[in-house]
Formats: sequence, structure tokens, C-alpha cells
Amino acid sequence: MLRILLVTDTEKALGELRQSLGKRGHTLLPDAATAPALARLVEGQSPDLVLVDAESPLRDTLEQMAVMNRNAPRTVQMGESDADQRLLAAALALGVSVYGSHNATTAAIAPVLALIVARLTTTRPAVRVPVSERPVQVSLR
Amino acid sequence: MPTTASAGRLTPSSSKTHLRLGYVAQAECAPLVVAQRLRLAEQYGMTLELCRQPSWSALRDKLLRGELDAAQMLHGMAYGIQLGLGGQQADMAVLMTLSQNGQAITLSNALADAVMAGSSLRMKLVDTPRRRVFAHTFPTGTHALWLFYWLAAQGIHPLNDVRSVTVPPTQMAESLARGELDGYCAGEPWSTLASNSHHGTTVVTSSEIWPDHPEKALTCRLDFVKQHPDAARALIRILLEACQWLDDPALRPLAAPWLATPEVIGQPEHLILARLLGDYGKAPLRQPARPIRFFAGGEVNYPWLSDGLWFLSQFKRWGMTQEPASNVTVVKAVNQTALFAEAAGEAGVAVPPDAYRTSILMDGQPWNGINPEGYASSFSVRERSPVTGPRP
Repeated sequence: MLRILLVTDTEKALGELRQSLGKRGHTLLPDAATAPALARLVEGQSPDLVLVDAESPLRDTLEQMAVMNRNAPRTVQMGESDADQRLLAAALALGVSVYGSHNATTAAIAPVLALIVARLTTTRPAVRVPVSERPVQVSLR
Repeated sequence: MPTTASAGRLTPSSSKTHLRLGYVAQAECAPLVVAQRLRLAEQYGMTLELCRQPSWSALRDKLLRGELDAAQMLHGMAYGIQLGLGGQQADMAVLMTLSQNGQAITLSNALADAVMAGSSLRMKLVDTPRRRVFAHTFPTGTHALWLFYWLAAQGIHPLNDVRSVTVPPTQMAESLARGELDGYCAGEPWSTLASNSHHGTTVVTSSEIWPDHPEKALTCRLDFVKQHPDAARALIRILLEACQWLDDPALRPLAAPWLATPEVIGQPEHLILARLLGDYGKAPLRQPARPIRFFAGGEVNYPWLSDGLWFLSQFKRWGMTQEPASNVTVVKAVNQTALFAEAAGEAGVAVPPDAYRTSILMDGQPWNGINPEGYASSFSVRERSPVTGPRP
């Protein structure tokens, strides 16, 4: 079973996967919705798998840790199996980026991808506007 | 830049005539925006589609998947991808540099006040029980390396003495205001937002760290250059013309409203324009800022091999790679000096006789592209063991 972190800074319904993943026996870490929280959780709780909206600006925070720490999760590759690669492609097509640590084997990731594809395909598509893409209010003093 | 009959319209059957260009919202996307607004691609029978990306990671992924043809990228990132640092390896091409200067480091007011009152940043950090947090935008990108260089030049190890995190630039000023950050290095208008809202103080500009440093690059996959050399060469000419246009300070006020639109940056025009013109207000800078520049007779745009090798030297310095920093083949494979020289020649833009230039950085260390390995290990503050590489 995997320790999974859901990044919930956008309107993509990743938070809705929490219950289904928990029922499958995975450990769900607290959700991360800001860059400092995400960095603290990845460094402090060593998730095996991080699921994030492919359009989330927080992906750069994950990439920073992948470059600077050999044990940090990084973009997963799904080995040789066509079926596994199709699952990853399907998750990507739904706009989910998947980062895995060395504990996240292909065999462990594949059922999670299948669940993402099943759940997010049946979930009503959310409007994909990352929070940070909305205009920031600034005071004009 | 003269547009001559030799501009040569592309044959639609032989090349790409519609290019999708990726960028991330910051002032240096100006050449792309100007090229599109002034319809500079039309003389080559081409059209440009600008595609804003929410992160550098998304921009890279779309470039590698072919959803984008070319992109404005943080200088340095292309070599990180070429070396496969932290992710998938892909053969990359730097077509030209798009800008120099124009970035800044902003501190919380408390930290800035202490530094201005004469205490060294290093002493101030030692005095504090908690580890201070500094943000940048991407590990192999410019902001990380300017921040690391600046901290290290003051005897502060950016990986050990402070926490270094990546925060989306759009969120940096808010994070500083909430006390989640103690400082950050970013482009504009993301630096000016903190000082404008009085939540932070810009204390140093990137031109003080490295005068006329490379900042953003025009990049694509190497196979795009091989498959569509005409389109790649035309794109260089289009952006050379846009960069030359932007180097006239009298024209920058025309570009500012284009950049300020919600589709591009979505921030007030006057904030964008001030920093485009090198106006840092009352910022307590030790040296006057060298304003962002886009052209300088083509000096900005040439893909200097010495610039590329500097990034390799810093990747090595900070333990991001175990590759020899002196691997000039990597930089020669990525930097498209010959293609640039052809395009610049056609456009009547001077090309330097030598692909190496000499710079003096803030600590007085000269950099001329010779012996990057020795340069990387010459710094007293550096990472002694690799932070990345094959997993155990």
C-alpha cells in the first residue's frame, strides 16, 4: 500500500479521490494546496505517490524537490507493459500528473491509475482554472 | 531591422507555417507578445499562436510532447532537460537568448531593515532560531541560481543554511505577506508586487549579481530544428526584430499595456512598465540597476557557449549533476550557434567572432567559459556531495 499525497490547489476534483483511495488501503496524507505546505509535506512525510493537476502551478515545487533530492518523488514511467502505459496516458489525458518515489512500483501504481481514470471520467468535468491564474488583487497605493 | 525581399516566404508544403509558442506570465514574454501584436511573422508567411502555461513543468511537458513548437524558457532549464535532471531526458535546442537582466531579490521588511541597518544577512540568519525560507521559480532555472549565487557570496549555503523552495511567482508576494517566506528571487512584475504592497523590499537586482546575465531563452526540441530548419531560422529572425523593437525605451510604453492584459500577465500596466524601464522606486539598491535589455545590437541574443557552460558549472556546484561541468559537447549540442548566425546574417545583425564572452560576477570572480569544472570547485560555498543522481 502507498502513502499518497493529493495536491488540491485547483478545481480539479483530486480531493474526491481521498475516500476511494483510503478504502483500497492506501494511507492518505493531508492535502496540500499551497507551495510551502506541499514542500513541507513531501520533505517531512515522504509520500510514495503525489497526484497533482497537470495544470497546477505547484508542479514546479515538486520538480524542485526531484532535482535537489534523489529520494523525492518524480514523474513516473510505467515500464514496458502496454496496458500500464495506456493507464498512465489515460490519467495524463484527464489532466493528472503522477509523481512517484522509488517505493512506488509499477505494480503498486497501476491500480491507483485505474481508479483515477474510473473516478475522474465519471466525475463532472470541473472548469480548469488554476487558482493562481486568476487575477491577483493588488493594492495600488 | 530591414525587411528585405530575401526574407523568403516559406513554402507551406516544406515547413511549418503556424507555430505554437509557450510562455509563462512575466515581463520577459514581451518579445513573443510584440512579435504577435506587430504581426512580424507575416513577412515569412507564418502565424504565431501564444500559449500561456501555468508552470515551467507544464511548458516543458508540452514542448516535449509536441503540443508546443517552441517556448520561452528560463535560461538553464534547457540544459537541465538535456541532462535529464530530476526527470525525463530529451535533446533540446537553445535558438537564442531573449533577454538579459531584469530580475530581483526581495526580502521581508524585517530582514531588509536589518540588512540596511548594517548587520550582515549571514549574522541575521545565525541569530534566528528557525531556518529561513527563500523561494525561487525552478531548480535548474535562473532565479534559483541567482539566489544561490547571491546567498553564497555572503557566506550563506543556500541548501544547508536556509530552506530553498520553489513557489509559483504569482504567489510569491502573498506568501511573503503571510510570513511563509523570508525572501524570494523572481522576475517582474512579481518582485514589484511585494514592494508595491509594502510587504517586502527589493534589495538587489540580478544585474548586480551578474551584469548582463542571460535570462530567458527561446528553446525547442532538437528534432524540431532538424525537421523544420526554415521555420526555426524564421522564428529567430522574427524574435530578433521584436527584441530590437523592444530595446527602444520610447517604445516600451507601447508594449506595457499588451503585457498587462488578463490573457498575458494580468497585472497593472504601470507596475510592469516601471520595471521594464529600470525604475526600482525607493528600493535600497547598492548599485543602480542595469535595466532589462532585449537586443543590444544582437549581443543579448547570441547563444554564447560561455553562458551555457556557466549553468553547467552551477549545476555541478550545487550537486544537481555528477556530469563533468566542462562538458562543452552538451552546450554545443544545445546552443544553435550556426543556425543563429545564419538567421542573424540574413537580418543584418552582427554575430560575435568568438562564442565565449567574459563577465565579472558580484564576488569579483571572472567567468570566461574556460575550465568550468575548476570554476565550479573554486567556490568555498558549494555542495560537497551530489544531491541527485541514481537512487540507492
